[in-house]
Amino acid sequence: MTISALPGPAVPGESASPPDVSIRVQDLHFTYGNAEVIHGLTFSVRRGEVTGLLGPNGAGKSTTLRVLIGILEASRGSVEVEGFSLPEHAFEVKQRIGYVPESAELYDTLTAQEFLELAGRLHDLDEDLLQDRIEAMLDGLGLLDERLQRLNTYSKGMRQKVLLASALLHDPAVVVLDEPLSGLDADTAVLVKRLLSVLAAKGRTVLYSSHVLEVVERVCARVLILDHGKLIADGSPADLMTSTREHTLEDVFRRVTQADDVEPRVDRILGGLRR
Amino acid sequence: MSVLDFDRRQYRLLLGLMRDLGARRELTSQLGLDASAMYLMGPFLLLIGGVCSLFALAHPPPRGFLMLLLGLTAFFLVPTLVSEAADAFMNPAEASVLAHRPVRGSTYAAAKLTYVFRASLMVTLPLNAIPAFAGLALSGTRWFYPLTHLAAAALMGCCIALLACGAFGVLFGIVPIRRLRSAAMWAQLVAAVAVPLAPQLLRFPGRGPGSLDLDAAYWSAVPITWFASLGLIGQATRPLIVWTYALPSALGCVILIAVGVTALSQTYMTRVVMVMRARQAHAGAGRIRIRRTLTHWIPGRPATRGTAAFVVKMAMREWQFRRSFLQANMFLVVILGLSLVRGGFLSPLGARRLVPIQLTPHLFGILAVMTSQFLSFSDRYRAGWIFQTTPGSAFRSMARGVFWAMWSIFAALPALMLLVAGVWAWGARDGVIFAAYELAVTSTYLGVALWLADGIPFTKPPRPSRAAASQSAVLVLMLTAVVAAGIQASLILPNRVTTVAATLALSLLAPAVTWASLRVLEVRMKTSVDLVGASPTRMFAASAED
Repeated sequence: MTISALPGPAVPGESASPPDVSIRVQDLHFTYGNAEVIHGLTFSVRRGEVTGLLGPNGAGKSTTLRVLIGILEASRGSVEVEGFSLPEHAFEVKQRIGYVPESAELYDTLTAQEFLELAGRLHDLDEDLLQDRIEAMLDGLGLLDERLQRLNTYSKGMRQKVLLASALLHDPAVVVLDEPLSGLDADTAVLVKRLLSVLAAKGRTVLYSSHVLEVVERVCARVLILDHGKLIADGSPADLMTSTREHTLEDVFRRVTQADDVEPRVDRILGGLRR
Repeated sequence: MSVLDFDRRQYRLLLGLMRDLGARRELTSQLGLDASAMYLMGPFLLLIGGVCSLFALAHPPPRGFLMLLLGLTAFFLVPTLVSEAADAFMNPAEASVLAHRPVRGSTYAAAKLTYVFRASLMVTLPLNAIPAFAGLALSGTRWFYPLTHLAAAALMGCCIALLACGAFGVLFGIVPIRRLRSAAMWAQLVAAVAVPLAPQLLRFPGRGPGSLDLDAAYWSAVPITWFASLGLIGQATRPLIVWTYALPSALGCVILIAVGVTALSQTYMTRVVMVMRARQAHAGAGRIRIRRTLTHWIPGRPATRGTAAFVVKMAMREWQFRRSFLQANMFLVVILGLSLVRGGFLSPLGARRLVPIQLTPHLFGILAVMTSQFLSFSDRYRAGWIFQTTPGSAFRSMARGVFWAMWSIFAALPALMLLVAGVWAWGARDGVIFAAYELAVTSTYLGVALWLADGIPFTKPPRPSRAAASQSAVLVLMLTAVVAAGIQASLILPNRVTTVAATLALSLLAPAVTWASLRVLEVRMKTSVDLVGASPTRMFAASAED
């Protein structure tokens, strides 16, 4: 079974989202222990669009993504993905999502082939289709010759490619990527950027978290900027630059997150070294 | 768990995955035993079972024979299965790799339970195979005794496995997430200590209310007796079970299992991700002050103090280390505690018999040796790259830092506490002499302990097989300590002058042993720094970059 064949919500009219909205987040709060790290996020993500999720370190990007893919439960608020509410329908959401995590978490003693077979079988893919897709993915990503090597012999970039392949293998309706270009060589990074654009053009929802603002500016039709667990900007890169009268997304980002000037901080660091 | 949610295909897939990961030692950095360690245990358990079978030659009653075997089985099973259950249900790799896949909670829990059952059978069957047949030599047993014996042992194993899983499920449900890892660790320790010591603990400080027969209550309430009764079906004698005590216990077990397994199947994946991400934001200010005080006075170069502070901090915060250390040593501490309370806090000097407090120097010595066994291992071993950037000249200072950290914890602190308690309880003279003696003995042990340390602290992935081997080392050490304690009780401590002389002699010996050990440790640190990345899982993700 492929994901494109998966049905929508079982109960007609269950979803309150407009038809083009794939992800809807309403007043999301999240707490680790006693510390609330997400404070009332509200946003939606449309189908057929690459949406970027930006923010300084510790802003809550990865936590937000983990809530959206159903592996963390919000402490308050509502989250709906492809018409299924979380956490009640986590299984259905996971069937429809492809996720590339921030760090390359893999079973190191499996080979790339075995890991992808595991991922595909957990998504109930037909065996012939699975093998075809694995071959196509590994070939496209340049890992075909290393497919039978254990993953503990892979470099960081190679592991990242395996994660990417495992996220796309079941042709998910929603692709969630947390720093997907980390460790990839320039050639593969170009490939991935193009792949995301094509996936969006084919109607897939792509949510992309990254610190590489040039890439986000080029790939994403819309950008969400988080800071300290709150949404502080939402719009297309062009709109954000216009409204803030900045020339690059990096300048927009620094302005809305109220980043300190760099020069005094460099002086502070070098001053410490002189002591 | 909902039967409707169960996916048979996915169940088989997950079972195959667990089998492959176990066979390839993927789980070695987690809590449980990997498949290789489990297979290695097989012949060892078969041998123990064979030795126990010799007991049948004495023609004990079948009831006693079976109870002994089931008790021994439980002794091996509880720590193994609690570890396996912990591994099965708190596995960070699975939390990261599987949590975002469409896996039904009930299917996952069923696969995990099967995996844990399999682990239980790998212990129960080899241990009971020979005794089951040896039981035919007992008077009054019938031809089918081997079958009922093995069935009882296997069922008891499954019951303990379910209880272990249930306990983790309940912990998942009631313990705050940031405390869950510590709670799981303490649950393991309590199980490992409480089960074998339960009869002693029940009798302490004396028998209970007159109407309560503690022995009958204990033996009726423990599952071993129920399964012994099952194993003796059709035989002449069966153990006495007082149902008034057995039924509440059985009900408690059923509730524990039901609640636990339900909790695991429903919310496992989400909660385990939370567990792995839950961090204690700040170390307690009080604990930081204690550590600073401990390491501030240490002499030598900054690298010495830095390493000492690093070792103390990691020993207190590193979960895998704390777990291994406590699991190996808690039994000793509890035994000593019980002995002290029962034997009284009598002066160790001038006594004509063994006084429990006389064991303290050896106990802390053993703790130091055991610590050095575990010191190199950590589930944060990937961070060990930092030592690859260390100048070669710093390794001597680092080795000294390890010594000072361990000396502060295992020699200086206990000696200080003994000094205070001893002066108060036995007078200044005995208090000072025994504290000095304790310091000298423990320092000598520490000198030997450092010789056993395997390179840079906290830079190697945990090896469960090493934990298993260390249990044997503890036995050898305990025997040595008993001999040493016997010698000191008869030759040294009865006379204060001899005690002072022994203290002076050990005070000369300890630095010499330590000096030699530190040279060995320094070389091992230098050697191991090149092997930091040579772990089952690759350390430097970026090092193989094109």
